Amino acid sequence: MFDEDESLWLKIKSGDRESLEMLYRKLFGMLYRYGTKFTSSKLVKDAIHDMFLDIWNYREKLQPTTSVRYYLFTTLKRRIVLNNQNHRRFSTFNYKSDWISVAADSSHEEIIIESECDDARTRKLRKYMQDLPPRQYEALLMKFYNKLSYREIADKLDVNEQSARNLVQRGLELLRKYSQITLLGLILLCRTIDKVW
Amino acid sequence: MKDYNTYTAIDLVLDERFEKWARHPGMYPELDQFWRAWTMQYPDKLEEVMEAKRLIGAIHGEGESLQLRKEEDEVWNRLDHSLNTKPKAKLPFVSKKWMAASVAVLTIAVLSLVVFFRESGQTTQDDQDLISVINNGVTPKTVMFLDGSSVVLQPNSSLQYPRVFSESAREVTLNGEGFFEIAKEPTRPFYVYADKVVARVLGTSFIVRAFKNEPDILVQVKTGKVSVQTVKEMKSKKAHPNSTVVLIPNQQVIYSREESTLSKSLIENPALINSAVKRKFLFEDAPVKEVFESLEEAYGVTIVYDEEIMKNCVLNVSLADMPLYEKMRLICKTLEAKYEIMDSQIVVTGPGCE
Repeated sequence: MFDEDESLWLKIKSGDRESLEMLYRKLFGMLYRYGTKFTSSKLVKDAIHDMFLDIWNYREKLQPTTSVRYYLFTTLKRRIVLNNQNHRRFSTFNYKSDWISVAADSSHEEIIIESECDDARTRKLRKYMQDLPPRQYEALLMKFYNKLSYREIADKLDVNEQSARNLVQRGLELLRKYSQITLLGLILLCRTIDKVW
Repeated sequence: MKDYNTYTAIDLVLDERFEKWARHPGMYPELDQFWRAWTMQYPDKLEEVMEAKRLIGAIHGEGESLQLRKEEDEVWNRLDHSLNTKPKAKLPFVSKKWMAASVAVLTIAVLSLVVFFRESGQTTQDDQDLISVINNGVTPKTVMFLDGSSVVLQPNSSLQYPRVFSESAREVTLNGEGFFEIAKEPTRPFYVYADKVVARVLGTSFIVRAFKNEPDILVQVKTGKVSVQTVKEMKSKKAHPNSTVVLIPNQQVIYSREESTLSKSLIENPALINSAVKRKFLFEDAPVKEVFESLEEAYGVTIVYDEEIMKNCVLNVSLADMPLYEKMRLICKTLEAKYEIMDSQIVVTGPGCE
């Protein structure tokens, strides 16, 4: 699965911009989640932007690497630190220092395992979420992701508060029904991985 | 007491204490304890607990992935722009900075024009020297009165008031939502007429929300005391003694149009009481003290922490558009600290910074 990263990397080196976008789109989520462990969303986005811009601008100097992800994670971390230090000053650091190989970072393994286990566990249920009627889907997101009150959900969906409650309730029931049909296998798998308490 | 014997996964998901615990395991020791004890007491509910956790996880995951996709597109658009406009120059950083600067200036110019046109609303003057302010814009609009009071008028809201208040009373009429900050004048009470209800105050700050298309009218108090009654009662002269509801800070009254009743309650969430006053919550190299103070002020909570240990901590965070607990979570993640909520206090413990 990681092989693909490395072949994209080589294509970028030879000047293929589509590969740059593919690599970017493939890894943005992971990089973003990793970066926001250290700093604010805005700074992470700036760092990711700068990092990919440099990859492209200095593509001829890219070294072949056995793990593109590993490179990108560590580079991003350095860049966040650098951007923090060079805050409000013109950046004068030597871009090359970014590409010096660094000693293995144990947390890197964890990140990859963590995010992939997470993906496996939620992908199915999430897919079912997308099958919900649109208003139930929205109501569930507003309630549990955006943390809106029923009053606010009612406002946004232009219904009364009771209807907002009903949308959430029905959304949950339907989602549960979907999940019960096919999740049995996954439940057993996750039980062994998931630390419930 | 809830009947936990019949609790299903869905009941658990809808139980705020459960959801909070499932979302932030380990962050609230009292919840850890509670749910650990709970699952021991109801061992046959284990499957429901697992299912509830999965449901919460999936919904949150979906929300997160939507958000991620948004961020991904945003950064890609920016990157695409940088890639297209920036030649492989010898001075990449300078030109990049200049590019960013000029884009920023242009954006600000365009935005301010938009804001200027959208915000300017309409102000008209009646023959009786009544002034009407209508906020048709998308951002709140502040109206100042001659007595020093002010109101932050939310979008789609309007306000009517006399140019000069009378000797005995200051009276305004509101449609929609406003955040009032009233100058103290014990001899001249301030009245807000909001459709079916009227709020009477001496000097205080509070929110009135009365949109015609909403079933309820809401008055929430931040500071001071506000008395609220229905317009009908007020005009009837022989008002029922219980017809007036007196609110103190963090209390609210809801008027139900359907039932024509006023009911008093506590403000559920420590909502951003003066959310009307748009705060950016953007901190650059800000000492922790400053960040906490601004949260304390905005939410009316007390944040307890060791100033000595944290005196070197600075934060670079943008905390806009998220609830208080989300803000605390993000700050604590950055500081490698933990927070607990005890009554109206938030206790932050952490290792401090070098």
